[in-house]
Amino acid sequence: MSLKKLLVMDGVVAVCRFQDDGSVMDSAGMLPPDLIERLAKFSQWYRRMVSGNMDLLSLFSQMRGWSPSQGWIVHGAQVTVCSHGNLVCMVQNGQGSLHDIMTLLAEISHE
Amino acid sequence: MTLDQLMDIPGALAAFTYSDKGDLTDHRVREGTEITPQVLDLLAHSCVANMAVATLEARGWENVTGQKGFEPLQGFSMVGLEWSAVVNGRCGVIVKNRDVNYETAFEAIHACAAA
Amino acid sequence: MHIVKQLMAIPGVIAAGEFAYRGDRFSFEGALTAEFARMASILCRSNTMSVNMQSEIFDSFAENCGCRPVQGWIVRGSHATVCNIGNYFAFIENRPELLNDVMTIMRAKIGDLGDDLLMNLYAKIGGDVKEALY
Repeated sequence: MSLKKLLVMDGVVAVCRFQDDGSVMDSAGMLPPDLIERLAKFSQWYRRMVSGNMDLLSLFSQMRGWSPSQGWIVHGAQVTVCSHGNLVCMVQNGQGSLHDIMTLLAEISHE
Repeated sequence: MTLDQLMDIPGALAAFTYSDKGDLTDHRVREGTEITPQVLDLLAHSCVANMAVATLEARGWENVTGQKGFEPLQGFSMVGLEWSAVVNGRCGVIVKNRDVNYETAFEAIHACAAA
Repeated sequence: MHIVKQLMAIPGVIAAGEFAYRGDRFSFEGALTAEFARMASILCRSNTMSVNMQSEIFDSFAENCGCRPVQGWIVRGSHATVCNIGNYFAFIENRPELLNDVMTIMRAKIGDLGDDLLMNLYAKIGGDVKEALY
């Protein structure tokens, strides 16, 4: 249900909730199943990598406010992939608001 | 040192050079391996990322702990089950683990980058 | 002999230890403080995660590429080097032949790591590998 809330937002092409081992818990949208699986696996690895790098930045900068990392965005030429927690979204650039999508991702990822 | 000379180091399966952004600029691959230029290009991009992260780590470590000796970085290696990739900021070589000599490999890619 | 003790017996090895998957538990010997060892374990975890991800990507483009499962990594500094196999790390001086010796010992003592590296790392210290990171 909550994934559909994301899917109806302008620009969102596909949404996926993934598990800690990279498998798909739930998905919605226009991507075929094998691409959704790849997206989930990639997103889980990317989450780990970003979390690791965030810990490093936190450690060396001694600044609060970096860790624990919440998500990431990869902004491509025409498509953007954005993630918060264990949710990931594929978005067509130029349609809708990335800010609004990230805000909703943050809200839904805690459900 | 040239790429052809890099291919002479023990266990070498492939040798390559790449730009600052990770784009493959030249390569050699031993016949019979499954390494393709596409894979080398991916590897080169990961080398740029790994060297950047390792620099972050080296610099941060030296600043926070006061322990020197890491910067300037000489290279990074990813150790797989059968192969290792040994890289620096410009050159890389893939070597078979059973024949690998890490120190020779690091020296060789250093000489290649300096050329 | 335990691998850390064996490594520390070699001249030029500055410190050696092991780290947990979450970078929050570790043990070590050598010229590190507990705080530095904690930092080192966070660095090790970060690099281990990165190379594991990268090898999965390479594998999807070239099966049997020889890089999976990933065994470890090396960061070669100007005078010192950090090497990692599995959940063990070593800080060493750049003395001739030392890197090769350390890597040979680490690979021989630790053995080949399997595909589910995270399970290996976490299960050794104890914990639920399916537990979310946060």
